[in-house]
Amino acid sequence: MEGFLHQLLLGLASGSIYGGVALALVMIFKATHHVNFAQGELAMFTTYISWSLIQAGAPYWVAFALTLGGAFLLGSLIQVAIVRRVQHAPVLTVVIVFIGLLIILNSLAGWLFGHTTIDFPSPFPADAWYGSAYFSPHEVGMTVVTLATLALVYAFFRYTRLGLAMRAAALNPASSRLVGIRVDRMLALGWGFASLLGAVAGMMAAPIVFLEPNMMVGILVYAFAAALLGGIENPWGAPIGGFIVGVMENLAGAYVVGTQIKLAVALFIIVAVLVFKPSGLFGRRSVVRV
Amino acid sequence: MSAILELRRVDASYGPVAVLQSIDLTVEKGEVVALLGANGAGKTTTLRAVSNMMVRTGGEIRLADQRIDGLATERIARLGVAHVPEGRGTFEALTVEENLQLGSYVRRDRDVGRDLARVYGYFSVLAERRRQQAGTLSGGEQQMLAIARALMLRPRLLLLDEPSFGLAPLVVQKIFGILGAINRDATRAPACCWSSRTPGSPSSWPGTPLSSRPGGWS
Amino acid sequence: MKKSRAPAITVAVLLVGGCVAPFAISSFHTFQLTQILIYAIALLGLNLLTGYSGQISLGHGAFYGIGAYAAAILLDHAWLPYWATIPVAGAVCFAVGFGFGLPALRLEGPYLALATFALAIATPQILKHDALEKWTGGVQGILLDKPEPPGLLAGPLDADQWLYFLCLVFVVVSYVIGWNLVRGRTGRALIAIRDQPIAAAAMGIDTALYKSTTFGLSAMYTGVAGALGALLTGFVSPDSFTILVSINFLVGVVVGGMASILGNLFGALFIVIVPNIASDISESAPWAIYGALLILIMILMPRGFAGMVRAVAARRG
Repeated sequence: MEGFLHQLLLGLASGSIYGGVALALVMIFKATHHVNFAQGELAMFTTYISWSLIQAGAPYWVAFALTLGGAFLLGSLIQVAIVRRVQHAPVLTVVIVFIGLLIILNSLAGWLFGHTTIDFPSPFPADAWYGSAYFSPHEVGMTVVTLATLALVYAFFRYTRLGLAMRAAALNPASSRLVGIRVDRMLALGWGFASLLGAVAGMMAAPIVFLEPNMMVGILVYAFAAALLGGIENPWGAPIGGFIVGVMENLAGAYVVGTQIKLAVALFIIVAVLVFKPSGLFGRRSVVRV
Repeated sequence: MSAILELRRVDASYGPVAVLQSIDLTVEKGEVVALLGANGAGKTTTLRAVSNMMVRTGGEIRLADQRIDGLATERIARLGVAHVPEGRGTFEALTVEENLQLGSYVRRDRDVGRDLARVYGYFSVLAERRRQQAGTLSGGEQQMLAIARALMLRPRLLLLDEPSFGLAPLVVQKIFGILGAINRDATRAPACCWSSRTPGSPSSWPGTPLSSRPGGWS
Repeated sequence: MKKSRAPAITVAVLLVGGCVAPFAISSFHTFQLTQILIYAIALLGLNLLTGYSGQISLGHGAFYGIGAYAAAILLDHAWLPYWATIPVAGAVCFAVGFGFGLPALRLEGPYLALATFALAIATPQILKHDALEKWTGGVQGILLDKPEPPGLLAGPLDADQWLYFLCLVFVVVSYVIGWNLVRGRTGRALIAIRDQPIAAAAMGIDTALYKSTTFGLSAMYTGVAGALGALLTGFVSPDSFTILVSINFLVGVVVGGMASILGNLFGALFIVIVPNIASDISESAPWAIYGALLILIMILMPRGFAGMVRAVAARRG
């Protein structure tokens, strides 16, 4: 029973990472109706940037803040330079563009930073008071940071003027233009924010999964599953989906042999759920008037 | 120049389909005009041309003395043109109040709060439903919301595309009554250009009826 | 409706060129050309799903692998001669695809993408699994002998060329069947389901049956390609059929252009040749070049090669 509880809590911890990346995916999906398959690689790349800053002597939280700024810029830049040029193209064309981005970022990271696994530092000291037998200090800190980020994002969209404008731009671009909202700019900002979320997730995950070019690949898959499980249009569903996926992954890994198989098992369970609830657990079936 | 809106030899087409050919239209400051005509007369196209929505245009469109043809829709809105499109364009997933806040999104002045109160005064049913999701409102209420949202911009020019479409005559009368009251009360009421299919416009807010002729609206 | 003879002429030219080519080029290039032909069949399968049905699949690598393994296992145990394994592989994949399609057809868009993705991830794991090792050869996989040309042709053709022509025949047959399928009632029904599913159902089209059948047929084509691929490379192993194969197929279909035979051929050419070109351009980061090329092509030709050809033809006509 103790082991089960431990797995459960571990699942919640990793679930917060999946939830963070899932939220980034949901954000971009709500704004553009596209799933950004390059989200994971973007997070990995920005984590490498923070590592470079730390190597250059910057204190952790300074590097953290600078990386968030850099991630925001990089995300917005990618939207303006690349994604905007295919925004009216068929869905699969955009998918291929995202795959292209994924490949470029992965390859560039390997080329610029090497392929050796790196020990990424955690800002939460190993002997901190909030650690315990079940939860290491980093796992506690990681969960808190991710939840705080999610709360900030929620507050931003709910209570700020800019957040409202971004929601509007995603819901109804034509009407948004009629009230003077620069929809293109909102999309670029959306990408910037999503990229920022990814960077947080990356920097929190790196101490656990170790920094290397493929570090986010598995996480992206789980985050994608989490986003869908929660309902791809539903920002609330993302963190909840993340926790469910995290717990399921851990349980599958503990009781089913092999890490690769556990991925397949976890995915199949999620797909099975989706077959019964095709719009996710909390998604709304949109009623289409014929 | 007292005209707030001037169209000179304006062409408008949807892709290869030409709808307007070299038409003229003038609206004076504070004036209310109604574009009347059957389906296909070009009412919606004319309004869309002003906002540069979905049509390709040729010719000159001026707002006061400034050329606005070719400018982006959002830029034209920022210059003070509030357009309530066909179908109303409500943000259905957002609340009534959020819709109104979006109406004043581009404004930086401090009168926004006062205008919100005034709008709730005119359209009391919106005040009752301010926290409700806009999509759950009835057709008439959504039309009021759309007009209220447009007014929140404090526009110089108000464009209403078929505001009476699909609404019961009583509701239409009510809406036009409110618009008439706004037009009389406000010291700097916006000029308004609205379109309708029916020639018999409610008498409480007639405006100058115009019909489509070759060469323009007169 | 003006009937242009350009497509017919193009096909004729390609066929003639295709028959002559293996005698004019090296063994390695024949190998590459054969690979292109095989991928052309695989892409036809995927195109049936994405182009005509408007559904997305990130899992066609799984069907390719299942087809390959089906052929390999049958051959390895000497239960069937090599040429018979191919239709059997196709039938197996049809069954798997149909079976997968039944529950999966409730899903749409990114949800369906995830389900097919799960299939693609799971298949190599299942193939590696100890319980099936007796049949699948586990992680090591299975080695196959290259098929020899039958007695009559053993003189003029070597093994590579024989396999090439075998694949060429399969390409022609697949495409003729596929062409008729798409042009006929089935094709029209599929397009109706894709564009207006509610109206299609109201007209009495059994949407569920058609969708599952499409999945099955799509899987069948790709499975046949997989079987041929196994014969070409001479071995199958679980790690040859990772998610990268599925992604590669998707790239091929989109870059080539959907719902077009010419597009399929171009797409197959692209996914075989361009990674090599990228390696030539940059030793250290070939994939970055490949990714950049993908993005550039999608920006310049959003509807793929076939889309661009259509646009040019429309402007001229």
